[in-house]
Amino acid sequence: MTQIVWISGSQSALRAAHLLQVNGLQLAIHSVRTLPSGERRIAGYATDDAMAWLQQQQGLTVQVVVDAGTLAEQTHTLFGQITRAPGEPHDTEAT
Amino acid sequence: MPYPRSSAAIEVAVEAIANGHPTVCTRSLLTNPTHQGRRVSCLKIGKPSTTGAGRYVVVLTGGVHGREWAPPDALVSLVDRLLTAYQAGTTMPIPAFTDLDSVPPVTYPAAQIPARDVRGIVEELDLYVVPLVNPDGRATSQAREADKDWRKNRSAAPTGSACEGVDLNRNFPFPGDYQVYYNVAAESDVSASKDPCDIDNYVGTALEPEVRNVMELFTPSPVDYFVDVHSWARKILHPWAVDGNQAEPARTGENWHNPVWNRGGTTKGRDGAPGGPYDEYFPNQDPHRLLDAHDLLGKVMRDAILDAAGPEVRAFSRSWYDVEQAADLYPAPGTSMDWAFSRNIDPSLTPPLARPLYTFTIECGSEENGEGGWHPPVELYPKIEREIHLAVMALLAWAAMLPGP
Repeated sequence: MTQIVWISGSQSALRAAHLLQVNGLQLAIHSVRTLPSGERRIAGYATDDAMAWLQQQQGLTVQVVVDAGTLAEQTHTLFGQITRAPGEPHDTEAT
Repeated sequence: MPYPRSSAAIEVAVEAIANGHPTVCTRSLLTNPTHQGRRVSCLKIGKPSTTGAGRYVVVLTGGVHGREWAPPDALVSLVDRLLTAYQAGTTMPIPAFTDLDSVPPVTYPAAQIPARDVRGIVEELDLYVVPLVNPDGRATSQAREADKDWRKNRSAAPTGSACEGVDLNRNFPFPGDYQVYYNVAAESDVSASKDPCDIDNYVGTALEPEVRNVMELFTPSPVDYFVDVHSWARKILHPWAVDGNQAEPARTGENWHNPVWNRGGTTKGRDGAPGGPYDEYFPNQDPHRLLDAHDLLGKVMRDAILDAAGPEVRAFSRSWYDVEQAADLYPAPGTSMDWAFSRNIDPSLTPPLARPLYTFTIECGSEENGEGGWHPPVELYPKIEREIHLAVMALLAWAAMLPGP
């Protein structure tokens, strides 16, 4: 399952974690913000495995923003809304 | 509400717009088909000049990343509303929107783009809009739920790999090989990869057709403004994305084409951290003061969104877009924005640009407040759409207001 998370910590802690290389974690790079405390915060999509890894890292705080169930529900709703042009083949399989 | 349109539905909409406004809008197919054989459309908007006077040229792109669903739809509806208003001689409406999922609901009031701005944009600018740069990526993202986060194009897997796709916004030819540009320590913090199986940031080995399509819009005619619409972060970004900015005349040598700063040079490569030993030179001298101008124009777009948010404090806070340079925690090479901006000071460009080129990336939407990140839910999409319309129209109105080149 995938959830949206906020990961916060000092800039050095975030860099030291090499988040770009964590399997199952997709960061929204430009979501980086500086918090009033001076810490930095970045958002991303994290699988359960990535969440478990993040929670073991010293100096990082991980917060679930959108839980897996809500995210899955939103996606399900969206896929029902995709409109196809007349005659357009249904791309059921990536080729 | 057609959102989210499929790749083919975007093309149908683009064709319908051009057919509906033949005197001021033409559709052309860009030169390079995609890997899956799709063609990419460009709309040119502008009333033909009767005086021969020069015009500013604006290029808008969207849909570079397949999973970013809102920008292509929003660029299509922007052109549709702009031209409908122009033909009618009226204001361009920005409809009110109420977020019913918030408790209590949040209302964003209706706004109007003045008719004089609508007229000025159509009659004083040459506007090129490519709503969907990467139709293969979008089709993949929308084909099945397992692929909904597909970002890249559908370039064939290179020899020895089973993984398809290149990140188009790491494939532009700037600043060159990132393993030459950055030092070894910075490399792991850079948003780029040479692993074809990297699901996000594989840089590829050659210019992709979709990238060549965008690059060809910049020649032979000059471009004055370029905006690439992405999602998500509620940010309006300007260069540089590769490293920190500095505008010190004594540090002009800190530039991407100076081999001293390469990994193989005496400094052993650039650090990739804003404020570090190396920051990319960003000219800010008179008369154009490019760094200040980018900050100013970014805030013009930001304020257009804020001004339309109305007095409700939640609407205001959810309409706040940061304006900043793109390099932050993780610098990124190969972006369209940086490549385009580098043309301002590219010593290999002959002839050099005669006019300044202003470049931006809008990162629309958010993961907060139910906005859904890369996939805004249908119920919230109108908020994202209005933010793109307000920001882009503010920039266009600014450009149309200036004395022509």
